[in-house]
Amino acid sequence: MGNALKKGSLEMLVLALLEDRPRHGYELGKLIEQRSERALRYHVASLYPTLYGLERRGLVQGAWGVAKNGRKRRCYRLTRAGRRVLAEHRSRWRAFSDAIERIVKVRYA
Amino acid sequence: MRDFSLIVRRRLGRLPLEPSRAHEISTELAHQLEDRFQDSIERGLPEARALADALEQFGDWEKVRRAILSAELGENNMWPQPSAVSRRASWAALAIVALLCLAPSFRQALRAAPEAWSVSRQPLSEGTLRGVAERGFREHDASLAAFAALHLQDLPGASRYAEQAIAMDPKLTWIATHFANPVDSNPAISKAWMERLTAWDPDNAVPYLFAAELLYARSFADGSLDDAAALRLANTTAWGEKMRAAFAAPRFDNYSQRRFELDRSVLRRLRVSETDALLWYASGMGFVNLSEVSAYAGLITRKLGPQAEQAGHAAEAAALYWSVARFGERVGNGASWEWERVIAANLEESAYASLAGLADRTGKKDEAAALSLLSERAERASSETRAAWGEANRTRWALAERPAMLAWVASGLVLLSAIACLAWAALLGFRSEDRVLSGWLGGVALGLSYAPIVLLASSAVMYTAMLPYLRSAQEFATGRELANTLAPFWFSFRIGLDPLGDWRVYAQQLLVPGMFSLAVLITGIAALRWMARHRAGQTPQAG
Repeated sequence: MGNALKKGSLEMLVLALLEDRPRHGYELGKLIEQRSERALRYHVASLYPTLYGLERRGLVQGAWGVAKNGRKRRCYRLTRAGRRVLAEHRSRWRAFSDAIERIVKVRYA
Repeated sequence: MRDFSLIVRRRLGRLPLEPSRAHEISTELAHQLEDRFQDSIERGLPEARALADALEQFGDWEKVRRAILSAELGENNMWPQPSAVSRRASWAALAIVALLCLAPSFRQALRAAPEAWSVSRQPLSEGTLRGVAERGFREHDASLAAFAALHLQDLPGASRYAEQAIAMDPKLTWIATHFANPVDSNPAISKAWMERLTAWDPDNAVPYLFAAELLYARSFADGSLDDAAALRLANTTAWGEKMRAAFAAPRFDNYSQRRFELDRSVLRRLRVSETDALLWYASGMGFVNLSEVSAYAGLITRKLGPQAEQAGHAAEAAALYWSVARFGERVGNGASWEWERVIAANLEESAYASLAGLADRTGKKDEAAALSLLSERAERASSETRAAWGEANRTRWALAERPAMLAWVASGLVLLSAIACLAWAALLGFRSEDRVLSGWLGGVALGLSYAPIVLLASSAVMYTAMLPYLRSAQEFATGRELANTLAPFWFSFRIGLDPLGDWRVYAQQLLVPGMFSLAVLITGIAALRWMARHRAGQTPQAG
């Protein structure tokens, strides 16, 4: 997958994965890799700066806690503003992918 | 147990953030590293492979660092680095330097700075001087062409300019002195100009002395001119005849005052009125070889005069002694410099002593007493001039030494920091995204951030040290006055510490190629690093 597309999607992916419950950085990276069936893999240089940027904008909130494996980890949860932005992302993504889908189907139908 | 925090801190470097936040981030990244490592171990990888795998997810640490700082500080707020001078303070320092540049004396100090460190110490380059001459021809201004002719190093070219300048204004024929002096010229050019100068100013002793100098240089290039050698020279060449003509000439004028006034007026018109430049040109002026004059006077007072006396030709001996005494007076009257006065007094002293002896031997006791008094007076004048000159010189040089050294060091700093300021302005002064750098680039950036402050401080020190010597050339009526007042400072400033001695020339010649090689090396390293990063950024796993 193209780097630009990957980079543009990361923010939405992180917000979406935090929708259910708080998660730490490593868990987020692993989930993206697993759920995309290894089609998407992000370096630390992308994942953590994205998390810090979201935190700075108030879309997620980080706090030290204990992870499932019992280790102390910094976990991020979605804020109310984050949910609103996620909804906007989803809406835009749906419109975008529908538009792409329509073009691709028409051309190759 | 591996210390993952240490691994992260070493690779990431110190983050210019609040300490607690920097610690939080490095801890979080250490956890990321540890989790991946543990996963790899659980998958059965050996420790070394597991660690390599864990580190691989970070890719380029410089990129991680920059991305984190960009996220934390925002693209437009990534400066300053800790302990670096803020951009605002740096610009303020440069603004103060720019304001100081409004003061003419500060500009004069700045212009003088490169001269102490430059390879060429000529105030005006050969190209500039040729331009001055061409301007003189265009504007029918003979003084500009004469100025260029006097200071060009290319002797045949300078000689042609001198011809043209004199053709425009024959009153400038005195510039022939520069070409007629065998010390500064070659024999062919010197002879032609000497004849021209003699024809133009036949009453002046100087052209005859140049002619004698040329004969002396041909015959006794390496020898000392004692009485026997002088006699041999006088008997075998026209040297004695030329010296006789010089001693009989009614005037002694080496035209140094005219040359000083020409230099001063042209430098002012060229807006190069710094006393430093004028001093440089005044110090490069050629002089008549007065030691040869002393040798000829010695030949008369110790050999030719006594021989005439012994042969019973008292009147001839007296005429010879008087020629020396009169010539001493003329040199003293036309003297521009202290050493000319000293030699003039010495000539008078020896001539009057010989005359007194002759008068005494011929029974003219009163005349002998009067001549002895004149000889004593001349001797006293010589020693007083020597003592005053030496003492005053020592004091002037001692007083000027420290400020000159301070200005020399500060001017070096000014030059270095000015170059660093250009680099700072180009790389860091306007752009925000490239400002947070780690490793050696961060060190360079940190160093560059101090450049404007160093420029301001060194400029201020240089200016303060130079201030008493930043005088207008118009304040000085003669080259001697200028040299006595300013030479100790400016010559000390130009020479500086000079620990290299004669090797200074080689070091100066190597300076430009060395700087160029260094610039190529730095550019090459930067290009290779950029290419390596660019390629890493194109790998499929890059996030």
